[in-house]
Amino acid sequence: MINVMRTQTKKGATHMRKIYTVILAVMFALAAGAAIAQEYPAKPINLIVPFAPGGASDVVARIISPLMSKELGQQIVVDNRAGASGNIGVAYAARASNDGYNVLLGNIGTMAINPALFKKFPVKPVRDFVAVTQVVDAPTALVLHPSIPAKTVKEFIEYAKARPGKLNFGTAGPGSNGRLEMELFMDYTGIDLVHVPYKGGAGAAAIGLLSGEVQCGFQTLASVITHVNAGKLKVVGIAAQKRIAALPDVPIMPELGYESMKSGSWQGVYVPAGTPAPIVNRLFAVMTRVMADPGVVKRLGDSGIEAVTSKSPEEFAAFMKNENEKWAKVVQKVGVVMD
Amino acid sequence: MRSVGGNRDFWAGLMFAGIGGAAMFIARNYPFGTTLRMGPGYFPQVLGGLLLLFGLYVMARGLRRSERIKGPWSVRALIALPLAMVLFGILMGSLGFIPALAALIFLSAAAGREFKFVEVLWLALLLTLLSVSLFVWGLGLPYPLIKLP
Amino acid sequence: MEMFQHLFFGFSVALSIQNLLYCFIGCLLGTLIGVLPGIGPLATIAMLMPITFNLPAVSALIMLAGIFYGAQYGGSTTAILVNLPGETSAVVTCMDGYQMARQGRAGVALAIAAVGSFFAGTFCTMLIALFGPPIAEMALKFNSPEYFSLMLMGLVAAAVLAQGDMAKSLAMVTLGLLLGSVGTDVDSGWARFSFDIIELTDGIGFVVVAIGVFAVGEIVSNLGEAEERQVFTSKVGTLFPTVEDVKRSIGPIIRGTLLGAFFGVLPGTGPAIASFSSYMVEKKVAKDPSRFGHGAIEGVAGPESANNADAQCKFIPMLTLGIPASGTMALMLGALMIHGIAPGPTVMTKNPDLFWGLIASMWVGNLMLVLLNLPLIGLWVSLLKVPYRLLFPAIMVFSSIGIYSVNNSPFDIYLTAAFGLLGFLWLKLECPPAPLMLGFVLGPMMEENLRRALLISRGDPTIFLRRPISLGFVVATVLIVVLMAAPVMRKKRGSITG
Repeated sequence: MINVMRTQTKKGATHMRKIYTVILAVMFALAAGAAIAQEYPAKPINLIVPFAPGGASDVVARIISPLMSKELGQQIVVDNRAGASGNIGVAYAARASNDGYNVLLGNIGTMAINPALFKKFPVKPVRDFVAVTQVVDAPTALVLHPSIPAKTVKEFIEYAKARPGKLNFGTAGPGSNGRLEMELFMDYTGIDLVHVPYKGGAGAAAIGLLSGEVQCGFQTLASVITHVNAGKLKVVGIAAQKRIAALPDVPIMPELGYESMKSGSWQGVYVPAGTPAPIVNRLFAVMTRVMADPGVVKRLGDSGIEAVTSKSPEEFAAFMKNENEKWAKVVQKVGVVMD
Repeated sequence: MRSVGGNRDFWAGLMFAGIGGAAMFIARNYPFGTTLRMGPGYFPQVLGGLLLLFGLYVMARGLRRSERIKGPWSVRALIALPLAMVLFGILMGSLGFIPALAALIFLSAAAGREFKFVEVLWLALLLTLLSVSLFVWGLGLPYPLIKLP
Repeated sequence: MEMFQHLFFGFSVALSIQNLLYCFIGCLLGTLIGVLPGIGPLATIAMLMPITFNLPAVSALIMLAGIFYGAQYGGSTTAILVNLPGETSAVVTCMDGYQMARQGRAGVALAIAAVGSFFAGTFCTMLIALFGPPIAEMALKFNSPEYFSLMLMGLVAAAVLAQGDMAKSLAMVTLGLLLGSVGTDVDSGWARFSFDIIELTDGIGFVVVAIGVFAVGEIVSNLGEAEERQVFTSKVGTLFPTVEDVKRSIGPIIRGTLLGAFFGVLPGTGPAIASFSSYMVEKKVAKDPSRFGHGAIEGVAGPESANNADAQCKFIPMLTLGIPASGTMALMLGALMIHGIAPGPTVMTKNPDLFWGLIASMWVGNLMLVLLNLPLIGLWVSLLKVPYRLLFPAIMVFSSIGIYSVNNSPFDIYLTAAFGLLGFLWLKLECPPAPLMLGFVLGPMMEENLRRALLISRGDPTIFLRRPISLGFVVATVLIVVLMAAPVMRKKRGSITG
């Protein structure tokens, strides 16, 4: 009798040991999972900016990185990798480690327009990055030189229709979002304007506009607002989702019927594909808090940039895909080809 | 006529002509456009052609006048210095700042006439310390000091 | 009278302890940045921007501005000492400044550079104060046709003034123009000469060429000397300029300042143009042009004043009209906007403390820089006494780090190495590098403006003649060719070596 009982106890003990082992293993796994998510970040994080210091992306990066550092408890290092319309930085970020220590500040150019322009470029943002969230939008405006006697978009269209091929619009280059936006607009309205590119970015094009060399163009509000306030330039329409506080009397393009022109030059945060979901979610939460900070909002606002965040990483991914498709159509229609 | 080998203007001219010709060749398929509506190929082709002409002129002049290339030069320096820089570039990306600096300093020093190992070592230590304090700690440039492969 | 009231007010702002401190920090940092090749005021200002968020706007701007013009002072230091241009605009200073250093006159060169720069800074401060807005308005009249004609004139003048071997100088200019065309074409997006290397689609960086050709090429050449000859003569002369030196420098300083102010105000010109044109002008008016390239002090005094004037006057369009004349100015503009200040015609009335405070502090900054740099001359000159075999690896280190720091790109380093080889080749084949640098800088801008002017005029070439300013430059160009060609022809016929 006692023998049987002892054997039974031994079997039961092994059983119990097995169960304990399983429970312990699960606990460890949970703890480890929590530990990974909590240990991150354990060292400084690279914020890769694919443009040179001083540009719009760089300014945004420098405005948000101090607060990001505070929220994450680790230093954020702004890493400028400029060149090839941002492609050099994007390529670098795509190859970087996907452990959450490399974050890319992408924008409309690098993430939505370049894939259509640079067909040979091997990195495809939709495939090679995980979208975290949008961070800003720099609304673009349809700017006119005073020599054009139009006060609204409608008047401008009439004026332009009467002079096909006579008016010039200035841009930062053949593949720039200013150019593509104008092409989209010309497609909607049937007007015919001549494209005049400027090297040296948006600043150079704004100068051309001021001097009257070109008579119109889509420029980021930030680069022209001082001139508008001084009466040197006119804004007749803004590509944004709601009216801009600085120019409350100017209608936004969706109001006038241009549904798809509701964002300007946007920027967002990305991580390389394969970054674990807990890290993506952590970054999402941090960025949402950072972009809601009143100091950040004010500083961006003073530069004409709006802090905008997505409702979720998935929403941003969908937005980006949408943008990709929209601009791919425009690029194809216009026939721009960049090697 | 003296040998062409050391003929300064011959080689100068040859270099110009060579580059000019190469430029024209490479740019041969770029859209040329017209003078009033220039394409991307216009300037490269025109400049390449001009360079070719200048080069031929200088070559011919060199053969006529035969001025010599002056002075000795150090093949060692010619190889070691660019190599040192290239190595620096490679190592910055792969092994980090300190190995890159070490390679640069040692290889550069090797380009010179004298090479006293201990002296170079001290120099390397000093320069590395200076660079790290100045650039990484001082200016905050994001260079990893040593990256283990 | 009102002007003095404004300036007085400005000084009261600039001379506050806090602003003096920030001015000093900015100037010190700027000098340091200028001395180091590659890393320039743009990157530094960008990096320091977050720190300025919590500073009052005036102090922030004073510090950032100090960095900017401080870099001009620093850039010429290494250009003179070791043929290493710390800033783009310092390339011209290399040409005669370094030769002066080799002759034991580094101290003199540095001193004259500092004094010339100070004069230029003072002049420009007055200019901004008195004529700021009207000058900026005038600058807006320059469009693509004017820029093209202006640059064409500059290029032709350079070609005609070519020293010594005309054919090789012209060839080098052409080569420079050709090198400048590497990269993506602005009009069409076509990638030229990029060989599918992504880094080449933006063209070749000026710093890469300058450092490769001047610094590295020079080192390779020096190491080839047969005997262990001193690169720098051990007989280091007096550290101070002689009366003769000062007399010779007055003209160039004045002319350089005026030229620099002119180019500084025009938004579309690049950094090196002011110093290049000053060099050319000085060569032209000198009684003995053959001294240039061998340590003529005018070749340092003029360009140094010009590039400081250029740097200061770039603030004019930015402050008074909100037009950034360069990337760094665009950044300053951004910094101002972040602080809630919108530069433009209203800034003088809405933020007088900022405007006048900044102007006054620019003068204070220049003064600080002179006081900072003059005593350092002794230190720099003694550095030259270090045996060359220890000095040149240090030059290599700073050059390499500098180049790498521009865009964290190993490719830039490889390219510099290649230009080092080329630079040495050109030294040996006696092909002057200065015309190449000029062509390299002007080429892309000329092409861009030419094509844009023709685009705007819809293919009508008379646009260059119909616009008055442009016509003026075209006429000047023709005159230069005619006036220069005649005596040259006569000289050629007369001389034996031609």
